[in-house]
Amino acid sequence: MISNQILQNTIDGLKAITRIELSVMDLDGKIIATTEDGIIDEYNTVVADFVISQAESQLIQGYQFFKVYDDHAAEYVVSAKGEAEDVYKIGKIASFQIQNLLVAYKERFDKDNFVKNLLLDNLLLVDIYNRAKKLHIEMDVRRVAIIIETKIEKDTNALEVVRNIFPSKTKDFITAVDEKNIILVKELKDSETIEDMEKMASAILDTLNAEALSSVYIAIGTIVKDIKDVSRSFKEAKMALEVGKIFFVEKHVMAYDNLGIGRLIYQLPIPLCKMFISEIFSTKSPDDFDEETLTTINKFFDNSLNVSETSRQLYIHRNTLVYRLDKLQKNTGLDLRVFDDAITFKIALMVVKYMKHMIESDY
Amino acid sequence: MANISLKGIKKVYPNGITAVQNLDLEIEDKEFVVFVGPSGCGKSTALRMIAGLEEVTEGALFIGNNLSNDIEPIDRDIAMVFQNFVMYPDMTVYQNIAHGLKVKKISSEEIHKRVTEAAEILGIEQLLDSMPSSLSGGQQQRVAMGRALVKQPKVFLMDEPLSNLETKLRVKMRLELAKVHKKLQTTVIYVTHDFEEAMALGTRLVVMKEGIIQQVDSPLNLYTKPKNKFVAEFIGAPAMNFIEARVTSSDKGVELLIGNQSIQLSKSKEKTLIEKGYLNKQIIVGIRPVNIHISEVFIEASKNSVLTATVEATEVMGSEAYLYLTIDYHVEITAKVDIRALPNEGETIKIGLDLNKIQFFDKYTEESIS
Repeated sequence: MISNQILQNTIDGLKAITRIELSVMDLDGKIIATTEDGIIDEYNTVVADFVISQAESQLIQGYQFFKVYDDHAAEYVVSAKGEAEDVYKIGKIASFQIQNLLVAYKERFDKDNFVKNLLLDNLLLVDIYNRAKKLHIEMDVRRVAIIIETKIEKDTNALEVVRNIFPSKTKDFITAVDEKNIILVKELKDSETIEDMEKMASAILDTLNAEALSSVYIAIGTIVKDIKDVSRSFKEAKMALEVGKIFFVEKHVMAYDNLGIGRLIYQLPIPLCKMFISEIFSTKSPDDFDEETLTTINKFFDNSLNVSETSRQLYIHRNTLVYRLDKLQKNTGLDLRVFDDAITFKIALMVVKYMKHMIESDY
Repeated sequence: MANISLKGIKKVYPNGITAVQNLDLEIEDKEFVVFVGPSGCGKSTALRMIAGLEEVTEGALFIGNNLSNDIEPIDRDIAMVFQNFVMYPDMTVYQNIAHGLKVKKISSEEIHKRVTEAAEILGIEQLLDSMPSSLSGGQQQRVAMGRALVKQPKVFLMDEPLSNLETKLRVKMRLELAKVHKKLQTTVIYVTHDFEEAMALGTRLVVMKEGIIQQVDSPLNLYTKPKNKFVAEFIGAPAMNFIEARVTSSDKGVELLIGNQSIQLSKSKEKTLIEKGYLNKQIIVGIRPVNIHISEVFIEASKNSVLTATVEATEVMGSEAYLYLTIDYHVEITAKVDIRALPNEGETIKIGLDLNKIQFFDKYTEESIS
């Protein structure tokens, strides 16, 4: 529904042009916006009778009253002070203006509602197309769902910044299905790709960091071509957000397309993971490795199994690195210098991260 | 305005990756400090921890004497400028700059005052009524800066704010940024991977690598007295040459054996190497390209430090040229010389090393020997 502030702004604007005092009342006669001093929140006793009457406008005690309809039912009453013909015209214009505002707001609310239900898979396929058509939403354009997760709940600053970046007149939708996630359904040009979306997401991230000082994560689904698939893009973005936090924790922008093997591991059932880990590491879990060993392993992977580069980056002698890798081989039976062993170890480490995450989040 | 104190700051991500460790740093009020290092060195993470956008895993962070580890970013009295930013397309430049203040419910008179002041400092008064779509890259960056300026924070945090601009504009903007700092007299912490930008802007530079501070010093000291091979290599372009050499002694004194050739050291350099126990050991010799000379006058005057090298390639860079040389077919070095009397490719020439500018590093620890 329209906020009282917007009603107030509207009649203030009209008064500035016409110099005629205007008020807006609810159906009980409570004055919710007015250009006159000292009468806000007071009750106008003549309104109740006017509302139940058949008349659309009426002159009572020096004020002209007009009904404002929403779907053929009266929603507000507008009053204009004065008995003259032009006061009548201005009052009529004011009620017409507020009625149009109601329609616009309702449409916006309907669109928001539609997008929410679309994302949450609450609509039948036939309803999706019918409602999209009714709301003048194009059905077969390229779109992508982007989730912006804020650290704090109901981060209004962040929402405000995102709304400002994508103003309502664009074809993008901004909505929220819970208190920590802002969802952007963005319409794409034919030439735009996921890389462009990643760049845009980085810019949104930086803007949110700078303007709203909000710590956020942004996840991007895949590009879909049909409105019915927007919910799939949304689910992918949700998964990217989750998987990104497990495997790419230092990244604040994560696209579903870039999840790699993490996407596969995320789908594995926990008992299977446990079995895999116990087969690989038998008694010793990767959690038992000390920080030095873990740093060595991670650095060795980062440098594509290059011994010289890893030792250089770790400030250790090449032989020290070789000794550490030998020791690891003795403990686990896996030689990280051999590709097959390295890939097994890498997957095992990722599985352990995944299991830890799932246990912590009480799967 | 505030001083900032980082005491034993560490950042470990939940997946076990250590991004920053043992970060100890005192930043004075009104100082312009630049965190510089290659990508992934932890400089941005350090900045984000100061901003409160990343949690501090260990250690204490003080902003203006207040322990700030658990203070929300919005309550830290900071303003940030990033490499990327998005303008609000439906708002004028004035509204874009004012938006942050409007959200904070600051009076419109105060907003007007601050926006006008910021626009004046940044030289964008004439753009205040323009829409963002009509602005150039440099103008947009100024608006982004304006959004931060109007907040009048105690500390400005800037993460590669000029990286997206083309070279000429970047140089211009960094000069303007230095001017703005002089005018505002506020603490600025700036992050960049570009050492030239860092040297041009910072009163002190914090060189980082792999999450660890390598050296904190003035731009000049970092160039002339690097603490280790990494700093020596990172600061300066073209990068410093590193040559492996053996420290030997002969009846003439201490010499450095480079390939099959040797150079004789000055007494003071000799003393350092002997005292630190490097006689008859391998060390790394560092010499900047600009300290390798090919002029006859220099070579005549520095007979003790002359080597023979082959010119593999030349690259003319305007009034100077880079010579890519090899000593004894395997030691590769670069010299930056005057384009007059440029040797031919393939030619064998004499090169003189300026022994006063030569630096030594331990072969294994890569720490400076001084």
